[in-house]
Amino acid sequence: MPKMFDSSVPPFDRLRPREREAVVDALDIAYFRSGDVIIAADQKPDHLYVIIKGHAVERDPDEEIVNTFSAKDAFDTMALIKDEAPANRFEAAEEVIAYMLPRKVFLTLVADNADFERFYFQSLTERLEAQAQLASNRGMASFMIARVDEAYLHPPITAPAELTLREAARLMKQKRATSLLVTGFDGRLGVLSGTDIREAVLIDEQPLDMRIGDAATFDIHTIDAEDFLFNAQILMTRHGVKRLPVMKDGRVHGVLELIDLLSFMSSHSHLVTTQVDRAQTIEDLRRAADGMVPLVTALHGSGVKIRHVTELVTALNRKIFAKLFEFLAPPEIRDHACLIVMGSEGRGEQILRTDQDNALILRDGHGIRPELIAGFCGNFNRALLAFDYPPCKGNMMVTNPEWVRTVSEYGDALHRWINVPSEFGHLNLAAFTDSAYVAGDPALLAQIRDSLFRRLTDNQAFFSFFARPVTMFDTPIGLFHQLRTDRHAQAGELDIKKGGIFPIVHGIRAMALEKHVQDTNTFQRIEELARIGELEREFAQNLSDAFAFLLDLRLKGRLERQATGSEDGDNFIQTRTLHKLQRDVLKDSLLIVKEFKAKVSHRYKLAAFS
Amino acid sequence: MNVILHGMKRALGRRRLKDPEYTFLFEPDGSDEAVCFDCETSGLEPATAELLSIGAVKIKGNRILTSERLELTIRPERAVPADAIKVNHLREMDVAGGLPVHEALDTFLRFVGGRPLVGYYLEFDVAMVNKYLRPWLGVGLPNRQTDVSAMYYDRTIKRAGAHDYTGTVDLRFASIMEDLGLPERGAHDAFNDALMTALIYVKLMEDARPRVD
Repeated sequence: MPKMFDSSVPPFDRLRPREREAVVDALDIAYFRSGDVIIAADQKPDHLYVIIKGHAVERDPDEEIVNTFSAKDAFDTMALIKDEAPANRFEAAEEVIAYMLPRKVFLTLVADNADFERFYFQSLTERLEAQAQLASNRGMASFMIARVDEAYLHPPITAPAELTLREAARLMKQKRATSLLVTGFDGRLGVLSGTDIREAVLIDEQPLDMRIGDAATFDIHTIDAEDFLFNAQILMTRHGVKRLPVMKDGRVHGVLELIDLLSFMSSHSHLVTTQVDRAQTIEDLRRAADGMVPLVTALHGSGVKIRHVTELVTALNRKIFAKLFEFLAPPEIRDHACLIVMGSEGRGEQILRTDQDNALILRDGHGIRPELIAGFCGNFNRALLAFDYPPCKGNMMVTNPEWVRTVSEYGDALHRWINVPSEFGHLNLAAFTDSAYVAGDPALLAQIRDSLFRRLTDNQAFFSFFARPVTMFDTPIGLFHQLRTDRHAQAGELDIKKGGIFPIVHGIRAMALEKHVQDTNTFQRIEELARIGELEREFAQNLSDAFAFLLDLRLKGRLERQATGSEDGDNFIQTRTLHKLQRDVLKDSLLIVKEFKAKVSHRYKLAAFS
Repeated sequence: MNVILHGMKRALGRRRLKDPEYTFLFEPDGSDEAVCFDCETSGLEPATAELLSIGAVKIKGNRILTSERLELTIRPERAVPADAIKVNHLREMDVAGGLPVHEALDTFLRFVGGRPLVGYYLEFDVAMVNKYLRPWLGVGLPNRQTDVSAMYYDRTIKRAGAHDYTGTVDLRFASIMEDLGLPERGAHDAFNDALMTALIYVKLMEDARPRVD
């Protein structure tokens, strides 16, 4: 008899000796290559498969992976018990060696052994519960993933540019509209709001017969009717606008008002945004910043996709920084400097308030007194500390003179960092690669990024060195695809940053730097790399999904820690607190990370170094 | 082996066969199956060693039919040397309850039928069986034979490409298992070794099979 069969594994441990013998006598062993179909959808299986080695996945008709199986897992018990063809397909995600237990033997065991039977029916209940849980999560999330055209849209009222302000005001009253769409003198689409009329007449003291073409806003943002409502909210938050023309088939379909969007999704985000906007003092701003954690908790709890949470948090953080800059920067600095954020803040992947990673770029020959600059930097840093943004551990902050330089000084520094490879230099380059504009003159950052891209063109040797850390940490999946957790560190916890998040971020960063991708956000970089053909589209999608899942798990861990007041181990997640479905997706995500690491390693010939 | 040559040898063997009971060994096999087998012996020299046990398992496509397996213990005609006991863990008392060698071989031959044979350094195992078969039936095993060590060697050379070829391929059983990422082998006995060899065979065959997408 095959000595490898381990009958101590549930549910086989519930069998009586004679039944175990019957099982062992009936087993065959099958081998499947990676990608081979084990059970086809709509095919009644004749066997129960118990994995000896390898990794199999269950895909639904939409090709989504709904379950994963590794050593000692069995499938598809439900199809055998119900005697029907599974709707899903089971295939080998990598080479699989599995026992095949004939259906008849399995069903005899289910019928004869109550313990054995209960095992499956218990799991069936658990499975159903898990499914119900998922469905309700989706239900909660549905109001966030609603489409723009599901919200109330005001009918578009178009007016010619020649109309006077008075006529426009009458038209709005008559139509009970809060805004008009204006066709500009040059044919561009603009928006005229009540606020525009009020400001033109009362503040700028324009005559009432001023033409609306001169008072409307033409530099407007629009949104597609098919887009997510949540994106409309982000767009409004980011640009501080209260309405968006909604486009359908290239034409204006209606107008989405912020108030309607809010009545559609009563989230806190607008409250925080409004608070930031209305802040008159630093104290006001601090109070607004305090609203972020409850906001993120609420969004995460309602099942909003992590990517949307990070986008919103990023938009808010940038707004807070920009407002603070506005409060604190003297006019000279506003005109001749550019405030940037770097690292995860620059990539827009901040999920809670984490480290301050910021820098100041000064125009060459700015002529500002050093004390003035130092004074501003000190104040800025202190204010953020008071807002609970912890200082950057690597001291990448405006209080460090290394990060307050002129454009040409940064140019020299870049030259050094590139040509004298060191961990320090590469860390700085990585930070710069991920930098994003906050306030001041955006052209200053653009100049530096351009020169960075230019200097690195065709420098393969640099990239093999730069990309090396991607393979530095082990991705915690063992040979048998059980999750491996660090034995030395917290037992049962998994360092999700080293094992999963960092390799993706850094590998994608290296590719983005190599291919001059301007985006700093990892999701956007992945999309762009797929668009220009550097990543296979399907793989890019998987990678994005895996990345989102890992970020999501990390956020979950952090929120839990915040709730319990524990501070340490920010990047560790408790593998045993995850339920099977999460564990399975985690395993899957880490497999994709592993595949990605192999790709990066091949691309930059990293294997040659180790 | 060349197909025509094999056919000729078969035809020749058939005429030499002393006992028509065993004509089935020469019948064309329509089962689409192969048999992987391994022997445990009292020594490494076929001329002097004795057969102690035979383990065999059928293979069909990507499946190893462990539900149809053969595990035979044979009663040796002479005492088993101590060093063989150390290797096989087959003590005299273990084999004492075994079958007489001809009875065991009869069962084995009926199990194999006309199916091709698979093994690891198969030549030795076939020589061991033939040593008993020749004086008894006038022929050796006529079945087609595939040695997994040769398959593995070819594959490794092919993969390495001409310029990386160093002339040495580690053909030790444990090395092959490890290189192919197959699970650790359990107890060292004839059936288990046959099973592991079957795994190597199935994996090498499947990997070489073109994918249908």
